[in-house]
Amino acid sequence: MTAHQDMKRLLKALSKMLDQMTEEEYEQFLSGELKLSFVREDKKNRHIKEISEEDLKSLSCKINELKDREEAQDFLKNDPRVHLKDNLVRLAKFLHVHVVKSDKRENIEKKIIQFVIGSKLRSAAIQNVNLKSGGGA
Amino acid sequence: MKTISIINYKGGVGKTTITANLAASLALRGKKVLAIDLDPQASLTFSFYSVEEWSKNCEKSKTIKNWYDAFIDKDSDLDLLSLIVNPEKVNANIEGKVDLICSHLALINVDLELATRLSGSTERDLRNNYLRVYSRLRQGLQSLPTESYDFILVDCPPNFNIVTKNSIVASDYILVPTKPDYLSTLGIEQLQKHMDELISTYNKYVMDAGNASFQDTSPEIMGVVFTMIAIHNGSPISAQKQYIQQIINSGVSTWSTQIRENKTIYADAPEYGIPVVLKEVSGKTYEDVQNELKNLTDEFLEKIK
Repeated sequence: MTAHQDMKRLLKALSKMLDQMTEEEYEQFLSGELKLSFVREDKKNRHIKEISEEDLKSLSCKINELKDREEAQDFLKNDPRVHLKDNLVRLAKFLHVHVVKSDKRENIEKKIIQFVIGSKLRSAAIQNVNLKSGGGA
Repeated sequence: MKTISIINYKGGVGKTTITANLAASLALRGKKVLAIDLDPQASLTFSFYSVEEWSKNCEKSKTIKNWYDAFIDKDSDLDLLSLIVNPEKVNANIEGKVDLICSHLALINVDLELATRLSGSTERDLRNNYLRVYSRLRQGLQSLPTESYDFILVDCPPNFNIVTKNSIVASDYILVPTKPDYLSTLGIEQLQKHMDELISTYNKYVMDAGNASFQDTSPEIMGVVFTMIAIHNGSPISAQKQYIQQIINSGVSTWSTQIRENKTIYADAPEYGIPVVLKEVSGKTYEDVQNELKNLTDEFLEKIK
């Protein structure tokens, strides 16, 4: 991961923490009455909220309504239901997108987008070919 | 008598295997089938005859090329019946029959020669030449006695040239065998686009010509049959599943029967002139493969009603 990406993640974590603080806590933090501390997460016992069948259906409908790759990319990045990679994999499988264990999150997103949006775009491109002139319609 | 073209732009997707097995399986059920090989690679022909047999008995005067040659060279109609042969091995022990019109390796040149027949100096000439060239096979098949066959299966070459278009214009149905991979998926959409274009141009010329010897054509895509499926735990592997799903999502009709890949079973069958569906076999894998081909025939008969 690049230093730039590290910095983005750090700022994101700080921004999230500030959002969750009350005004009073914020004042206490600034005055030094409250301190930040590190808590190591126990990965083994971490509880992953598995995405429900209903959510998968709704995500699948939503992504199928989208028209371009950027929109789909934003959607997959921002919807909290697929923030966890495991849930993104579940969505991919629900859609019948082929994923392999070694696929990184970014790659799974690409595959989903290609499957849903890419197939629509290429179909439209084929339909719009002008067979008589050899140029686009 | 129903005419069905088996076609896909892409080569190596199992068109000939499907045609040969469907023809044999229908004949096993008592149907009368005429198989026509329009592919210059002559794979269907060599699925029923050895190259030596073809060379000795068919090459000179009993191939579809002879029929096109008569039109190109002498502007005459050769009787299609005179080209029909009855391959011995496939027809042993079946109730119905499989007849064949063989292909010829030089059929590859016929497209270019037919193209010269399309030119004309006036709009009327162009239209009439277009109709004469593209309805060639249709009119040839219409000249066969109606009771001669239940089904005519045409194995098309992997292109969209004049000979292939002849077959589409002559057909009641189009069957599209497809391997579930990226390029084959693209091929289906291209085929559909080209077919729509051909049918609309042909029918427009028929209407403009107002000549009773030419009628509208309306072949129906009877669906995509997935072939060369790699099975894992009883269903296609997920890399293929995704392309199957993509084709389903595109709205194209697909068959529930899928034909698995099996090099051991399919590789040498054509060499002995007997399609896999007719072989006497034992062993689960063989039985599974044959059952798929039988299911394919059931589905074919259901869809064609």
